[in-house]
Amino acid sequence: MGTSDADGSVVAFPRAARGGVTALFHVHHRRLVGLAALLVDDHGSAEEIVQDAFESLYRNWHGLRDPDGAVAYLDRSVVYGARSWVRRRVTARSYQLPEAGTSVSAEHESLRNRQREELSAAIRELPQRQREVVVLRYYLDLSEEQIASWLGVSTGSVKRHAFRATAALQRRMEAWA
Amino acid sequence: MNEFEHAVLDTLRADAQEAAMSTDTTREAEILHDRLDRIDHDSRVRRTVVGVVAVAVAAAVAVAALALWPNLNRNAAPATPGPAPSASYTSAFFVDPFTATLPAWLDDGHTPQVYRSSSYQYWDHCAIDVDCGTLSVSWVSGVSTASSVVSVDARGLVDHLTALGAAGRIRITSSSPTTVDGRPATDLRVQTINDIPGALGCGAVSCQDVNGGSLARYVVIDMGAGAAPVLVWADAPRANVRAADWMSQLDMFLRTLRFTGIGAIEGRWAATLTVEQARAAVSAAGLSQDQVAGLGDPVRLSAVFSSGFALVSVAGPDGSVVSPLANLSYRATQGQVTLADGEQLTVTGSPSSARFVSTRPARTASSTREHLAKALLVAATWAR
Repeated sequence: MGTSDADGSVVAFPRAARGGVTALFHVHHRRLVGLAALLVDDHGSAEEIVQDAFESLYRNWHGLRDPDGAVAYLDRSVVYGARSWVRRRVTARSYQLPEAGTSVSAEHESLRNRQREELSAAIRELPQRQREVVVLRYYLDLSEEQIASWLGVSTGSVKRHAFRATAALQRRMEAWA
Repeated sequence: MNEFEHAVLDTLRADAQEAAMSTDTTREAEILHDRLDRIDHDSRVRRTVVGVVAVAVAAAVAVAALALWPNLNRNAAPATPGPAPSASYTSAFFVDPFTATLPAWLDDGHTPQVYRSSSYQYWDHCAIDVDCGTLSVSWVSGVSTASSVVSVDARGLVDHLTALGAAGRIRITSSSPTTVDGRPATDLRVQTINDIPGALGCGAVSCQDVNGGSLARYVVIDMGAGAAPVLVWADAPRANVRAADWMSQLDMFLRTLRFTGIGAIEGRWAATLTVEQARAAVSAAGLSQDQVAGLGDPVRLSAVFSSGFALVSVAGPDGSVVSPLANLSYRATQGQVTLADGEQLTVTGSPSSARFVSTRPARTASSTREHLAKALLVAATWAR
């Protein structure tokens, strides 16, 4: 039994909880921080959410049958953790959207990078549920049925959120162009 | 996938990669290691307690069965299931450490999301949208206004929440005095209307929100003169058919809630010593009294415990760092701090009046600056 890392190599999947969680941590930690950061903006919060996900996995290890289940569990825990974080907005005073385009002079930016920054800002400004649908659909490549299951909503609701998000992003990109 | 969708995917991947590459995996692995250690420790304690209780209960049942045997034979009846057992919880990080029995709805087979910090302990049960429910124990140092955060005591926090009701921003259906762990408290039963960012008070670094469209209970506990109040609050969306029952279950949590003394040390502490006290402290530590020169009169100190480092500094009147003395590497467990040189400090008192008492001397020599920082840390009485 094994799980693939980013290079496609296979790492051992220890049956003991401690070893299993540690192995998964080394393979998936950075990816999960990236996923969490797409959903909550704040980097520290993203790291905290990922820590919570691994802790939760450790507590629930006995219920897992294979490494694929563990990775899916982590993905899902991060999405739920991000939802909880946003729902309670614990970082109300420090929770601010990053300002797009302040780090590097626009003169030296390629068109492609400026477009990406604009699109990145537009995704972050979407309503949270629309943003979740966009991340799950494109970044995690989930089907509408899977997204509906993960978010506890109907497939129709997923379609609506996806449609509104796409429309909003396209409007934004057209305005920018 | 069309061109637009490719652009979205590229953007998400680039943003995720940027975040992923800026994380310190080594540090995060150490944090996870500590967290798993803590789980193992809690688990061992729980198993021991359960074992002892099980033996005690079995013995009690056996004695009762023997005593009642004749009656049991005559009145045999089918057993009825009792309420679901609930988990006993001991806080690990909260500034006012506590134990309590969690409501059964947090332990119904769906593992809740848990967030723990020195300012709040938070459980979020959210199997699907409508089945959500939250429970939080929050340390409230102030309430947010349009421009700043204003310090409040328990009365001030109740007044703040009551004012939200008077303004029609929440609907308070009852307000009653009660006691929690022998401390005076006010129990507000509430129907929320809309989200109100930051309205539930602020802790060390952030504020919490009123969640709209919910049934809620806000219980303000007076932790004593000069101490920040603790707010126990729970809410569930009104669409959750079990919301009223879940709010009622908060009673058991409140009945079993016990504050056990000073706990997590993470965060910023402040202290003030007279020059004479500082001189005595450095003398007792075997340092020259000259070390006190230039520290100010009085000697204002700040100590920030964060991520394994305690930055002890000379502070200004507003608590800001003026001159760092030493950055002490440490590991903390409940009520104890172990420094890198092996010195062990036991933390006693309360969040508003804490002492770091040296209970095991250093095994290795410290630099003069570290020695001075430790001497002042031990000599002073600290407050958050």
